Amino acid sequence: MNRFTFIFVVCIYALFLIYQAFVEIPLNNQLLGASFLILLFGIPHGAIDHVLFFRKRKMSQLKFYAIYLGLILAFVLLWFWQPVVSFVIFLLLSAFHFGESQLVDIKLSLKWRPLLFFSWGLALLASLVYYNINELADITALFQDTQGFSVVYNEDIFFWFYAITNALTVLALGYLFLSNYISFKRFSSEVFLIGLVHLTFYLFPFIIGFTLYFVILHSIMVMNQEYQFFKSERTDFSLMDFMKLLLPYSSLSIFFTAVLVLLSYHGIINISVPFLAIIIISVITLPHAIVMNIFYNK
Amino acid sequence: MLLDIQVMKPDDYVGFTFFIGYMAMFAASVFFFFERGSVDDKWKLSLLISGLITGIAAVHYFYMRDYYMATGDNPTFFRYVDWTLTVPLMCVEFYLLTRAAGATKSLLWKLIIASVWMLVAGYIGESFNPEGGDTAHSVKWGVISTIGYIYILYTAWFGEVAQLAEKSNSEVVKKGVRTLAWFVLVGWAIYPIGYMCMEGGWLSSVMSPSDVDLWYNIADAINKIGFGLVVYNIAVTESK
Repeated sequence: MNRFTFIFVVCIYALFLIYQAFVEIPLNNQLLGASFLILLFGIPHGAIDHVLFFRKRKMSQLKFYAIYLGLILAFVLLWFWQPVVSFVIFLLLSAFHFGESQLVDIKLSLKWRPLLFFSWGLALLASLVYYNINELADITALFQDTQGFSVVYNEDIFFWFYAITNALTVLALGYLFLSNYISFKRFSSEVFLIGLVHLTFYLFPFIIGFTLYFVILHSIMVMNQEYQFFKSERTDFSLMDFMKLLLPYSSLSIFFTAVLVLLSYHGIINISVPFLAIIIISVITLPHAIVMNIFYNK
Repeated sequence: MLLDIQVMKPDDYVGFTFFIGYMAMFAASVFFFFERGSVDDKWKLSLLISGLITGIAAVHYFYMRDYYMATGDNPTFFRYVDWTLTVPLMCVEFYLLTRAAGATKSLLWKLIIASVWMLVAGYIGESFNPEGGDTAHSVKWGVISTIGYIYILYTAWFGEVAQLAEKSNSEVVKKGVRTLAWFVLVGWAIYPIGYMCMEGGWLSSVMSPSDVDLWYNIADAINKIGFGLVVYNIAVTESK
């Protein structure tokens, strides 16, 4: 168990007690809490992509921003043209990115690394959807522009998807341990984490389960990786320096996100808030995942 | 009366695990006490504590078994008396294992206070819960109890105990302390789950009180005997 898993465990216990008190949390409150935490931790973890990129590769700023923003624009257009395809791409991209951030330190040949990352991330997302498939179907059915996603939530398909990806991931971790790529300590920590994530997704509603994972086990962990990187470059680099670095870009991102959500909320943009949230998160994820892949591998 | 015969149904798994738990704890105590002779002097106290943990539990399981057979109810009172004695002793094991690396008496007392805090709060929360369940009562005492648990968990994984184990020159001690920390993380997790299954609790619809007893019995056996066996393994390996 690392410190992030410990924080995760403490949060699960805190949620246990909250549930003991309230039995359930209304959807609006879940969304409010999740949005707050994702804005507070999720946005900052991807807010310094450009800084990380220029530490790893040489490229003109104009070219970088053109590519970065071009990818965002292209993905926005794809969302309006092919929303279901875009949704599937988003899930695949997220799976790879989640897997990579979790297992990046495992020294494995370049051929197998992407497969391992995909397997881990797909197991995570498949479990999240499988345990909450009815709730997801209900949420997406609430809004006209998200109703199309119901084709993705097929319980039979997801059961096999869930079973196969989880089995493959645990087998892959077992193989890595037996082949001395990872220690027993790491193997047991990873298996425990998978179990804990399953328990979380099973016990709590979709939004709470995902937010817990995304904020603690992904965003805070990635921010720690970024912080450690800067610290390795400059030993006097402090946590305050890191926060100062994150603050302007995070504030800017949060401001524009808030403007878009408000426009949607007041009906100025003809897209429901949940659909808009998915689009915003996915179009940010695309260039972020690419930059992080470069950051991890260079 | 000694010759009173209690009738037990073949599918009474709770009663079955009370019997198994009692005998297993008793056997483990005999084993730890006898094996004290085969380890170095510095490990004898650790094995004595292991034997005491399972011995105290065996006595309580003897009473709990009878109480359950006679009433069919949860022996909450006996459980908490048992835990209030044995859990602090488990914390003493952490101190004894890391003493060579510089563990102080203050660490010992902090762990004992945290464990007693956790159990007393849990007992008040569970035993004084009014009929039908009072959420405010169970949550308040649940929060207080959890603070003690989180403190022990942190100390075992990242705090003083973990740091002292890292500082020790023995790989066996490092591994052993890590294994005991796993017991605290996974094995002890059953107890808050049981707490939430009490009347009016969040998980009361998932598990009935008799199911909770079944899991408590299994968890107790694994946690107490397993804990002792890890200590025994360290003592034997280090004595070679």
